[in-house]
Amino acid sequence: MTRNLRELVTDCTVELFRAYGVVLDPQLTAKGLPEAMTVDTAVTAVMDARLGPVAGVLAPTSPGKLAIVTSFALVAASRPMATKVAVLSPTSFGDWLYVRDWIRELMNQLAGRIMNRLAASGTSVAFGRPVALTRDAALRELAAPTNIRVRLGSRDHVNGVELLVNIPGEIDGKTRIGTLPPPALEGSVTLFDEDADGQ
Amino acid sequence: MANKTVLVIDDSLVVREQVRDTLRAASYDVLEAENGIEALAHVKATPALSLVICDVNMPEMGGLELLAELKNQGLMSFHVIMLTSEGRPEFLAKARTLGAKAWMMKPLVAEKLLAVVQKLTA
Repeated sequence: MTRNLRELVTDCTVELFRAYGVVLDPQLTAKGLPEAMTVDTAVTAVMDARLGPVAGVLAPTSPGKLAIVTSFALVAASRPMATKVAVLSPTSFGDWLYVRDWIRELMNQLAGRIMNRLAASGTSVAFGRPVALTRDAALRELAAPTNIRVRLGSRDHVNGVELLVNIPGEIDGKTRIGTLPPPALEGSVTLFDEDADGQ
Repeated sequence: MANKTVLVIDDSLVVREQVRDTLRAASYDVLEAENGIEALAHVKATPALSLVICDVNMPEMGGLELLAELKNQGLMSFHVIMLTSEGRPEFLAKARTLGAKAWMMKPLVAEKLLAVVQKLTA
């Protein structure tokens, strides 16, 4: 059984945010993302492998690009943000740094999910390091051509998530890929030497 | 009895906090580093280090590069847990070859992390 790349990207995004307490619904379209692009409310991060090598990547692979646009409120509502502090304010510089740190980490984990599933089906792609963007840079990202653009709404937040993915090659959102299980499941633990540790 | 000391290495402040909070609640002392270079300095300055928890993809020096340095410099007197979103088999194999003891996939599950930490620091 296969599915297409758009479905894979959508599923990875929904799964990731659900793991952190935010429910995204592919049936809902994210509303008003351009309106969300104010300094106060927009949070954007991009991972572009063409910008430079990623520390830790073992071998060169096709460079990909992953960008996410969402709102401060949605990111602040995700665990562990929501459980760590009572109220995060977009007018607080410290809170902004915190939220920007977290969206970068969310991007990192999203890229990991996508890469792991693509690798299991024989497609090798690497994304760059996550970088949080300014408002103007984020608007340019939204306007740039992309293979796959996914908008996911949220029942709890007016502005959901917009995801933009570029994976080189003759692929697009409709490209069929295999559905082999990822080599290591999210949240799993692999102990390398059980015998050594157990003795 | 003195608390055991764990070094947490991740370029995300939020991830370091999650791990730190989990371990401190279980009476571990926690040191933090943002990348492998900072981590090396901590390792050299902390001879009684019990465990290292390390991300893979980080700026300056990644987790696998750090493992290689620790091994080459004969500094690995403790176990290392890789905590990462990376799941490709070649990465796990590389980490195992370099001496890591465990590979944990993000999202972090506090109970699982604590169980592995307690097992490897027993």
